[in-house]
Amino acid sequence: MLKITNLKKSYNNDIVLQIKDLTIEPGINWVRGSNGTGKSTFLKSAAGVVAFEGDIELNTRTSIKKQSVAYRKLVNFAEAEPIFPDFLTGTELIRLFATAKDAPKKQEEYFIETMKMESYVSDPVGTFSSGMLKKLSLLLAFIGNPSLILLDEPLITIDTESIKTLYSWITEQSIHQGTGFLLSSHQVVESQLLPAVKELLVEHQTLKYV
Amino acid sequence: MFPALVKILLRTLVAGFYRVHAGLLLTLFAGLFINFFFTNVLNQTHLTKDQILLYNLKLVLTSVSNPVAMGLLFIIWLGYTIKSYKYVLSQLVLNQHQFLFYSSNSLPVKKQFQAWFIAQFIISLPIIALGLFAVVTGIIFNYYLIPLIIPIYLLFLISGSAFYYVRFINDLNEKKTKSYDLDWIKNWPKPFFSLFFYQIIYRSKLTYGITKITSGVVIISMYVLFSDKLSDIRIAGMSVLSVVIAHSVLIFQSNEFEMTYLRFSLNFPYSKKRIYLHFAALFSLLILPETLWFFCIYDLSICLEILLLSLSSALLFRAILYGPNQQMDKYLKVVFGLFILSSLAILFSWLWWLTAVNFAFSFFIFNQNYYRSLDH
Repeated sequence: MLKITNLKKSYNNDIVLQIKDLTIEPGINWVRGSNGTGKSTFLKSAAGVVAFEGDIELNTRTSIKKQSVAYRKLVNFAEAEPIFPDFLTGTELIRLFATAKDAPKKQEEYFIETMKMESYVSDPVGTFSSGMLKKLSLLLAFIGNPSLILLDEPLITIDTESIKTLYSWITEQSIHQGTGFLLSSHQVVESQLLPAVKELLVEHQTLKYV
Repeated sequence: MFPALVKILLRTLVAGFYRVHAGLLLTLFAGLFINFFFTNVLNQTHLTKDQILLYNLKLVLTSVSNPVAMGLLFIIWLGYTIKSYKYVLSQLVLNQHQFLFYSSNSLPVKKQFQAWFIAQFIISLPIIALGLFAVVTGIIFNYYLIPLIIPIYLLFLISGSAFYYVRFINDLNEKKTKSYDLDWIKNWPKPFFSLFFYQIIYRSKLTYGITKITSGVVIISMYVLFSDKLSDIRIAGMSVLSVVIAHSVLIFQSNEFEMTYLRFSLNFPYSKKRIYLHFAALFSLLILPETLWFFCIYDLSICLEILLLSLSSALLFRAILYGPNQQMDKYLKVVFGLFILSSLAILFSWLWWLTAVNFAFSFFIFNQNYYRSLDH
């Protein structure tokens, strides 16, 4: 699904992540690691929101460097701590993402309903609590027709009921659309709630399967 | 030694205020403040030394002798204080400053007031410097009433702000959310390129106002001074270049906004060409009032020529910000250098060449640095 070649990411000349050659398999992949090991850096690199050396290819034909537009159309990302312009409403942000990602009409309705966001989604995001903002950010990652969805720390700040809803979205999307998932978390995998989760570990500035 | 609360306020809110408003303060300093301290007199040969000194200090002496000028100065200081007050309140509601609501208010109110007074005093240093200068100059030139009122007024502004901060921190029932009460634009379409324009409407009205006033003054001055040379492309070119320079702080802020609030869009499937055109569309929107004015006073061909020049210059200023040096001071130095070079080109009537070079360089710099700038 995702082929990583000679990836190197440094901050102020300190290497924080180095992956020589790794292929991430299709399906649901759970990236584990302690705080500060480079999970978010890896996901941000794979989402194309931070610069890095090397290359990442999706399904062996779409390179993040050479086909940057096509790659970004197929890979969606939700940040651990999302930041949006606070005057925009949830609805306006959804519309913005739907236009950018070329989403089918009314695709968001299912997500808004199942995550129970109807009462506040039309308010400015500056009035949202951190949990409400996180749910919106997760919803935005499902907008469009992605082949891969990257969710950075998807379980933080949201309640247990919403976590179950998120797991159901991931399961449905994975089974019915064949979408791959890369989830990062320092928490243990809840394998009984998600089908066939594969575990990756970020350790000693590199990423490998457990 | 400063108490712990003062140190925290200085490191967070006060430092943040100066960082965010560096451009605004620089513009004010270059325009108003320098004239306040020293108004240069042209052709001084027929004047005595005393007369030259009086002219040099004309602005400050007027403000300590004339109640209307004093009132004007007091309004400007009040505007500065309100601006800083609004900035501090907008910061206090952010998550990273919430700790002040459950730590600082455990101190006695007197201590809190002292800490906030010091913080506001340091935020107000630019207007205090002006006030001090006016007082000293006023006393030397035997004006006593207004120089006496000035420190009282400044003390009132600073303690008033400190009082409101303390009340805000201690009144937990007070609504600590930002207002989004601009209903008239709530349902306007907000395409991606226009988001910074809305950010201005919601958050940076003062910067926008100062930019437009500066821009307006430049355009009207050029129009009045050279009304008999409206067909001279060089006059029109200098007008439009000045308009772009007036917008340089807003251009800088658009980059800051993009890097902070639109970072999510780096994952959008937008080509570099499209992102480049987004800024062109944004800048065209920002200078819409000036564009209408140019269409009213210049021929269509001149108008199109100078608008393309303005767009190319703005794109070049924006492209610089994708480079490694993104600090305001370095950016403004580069902008100043480009202004001098562009002025020379305009004086030689090389507008089309200048436009073409600006477009080419801006796209080259942008294309080379866009993805590298993700590390900033």
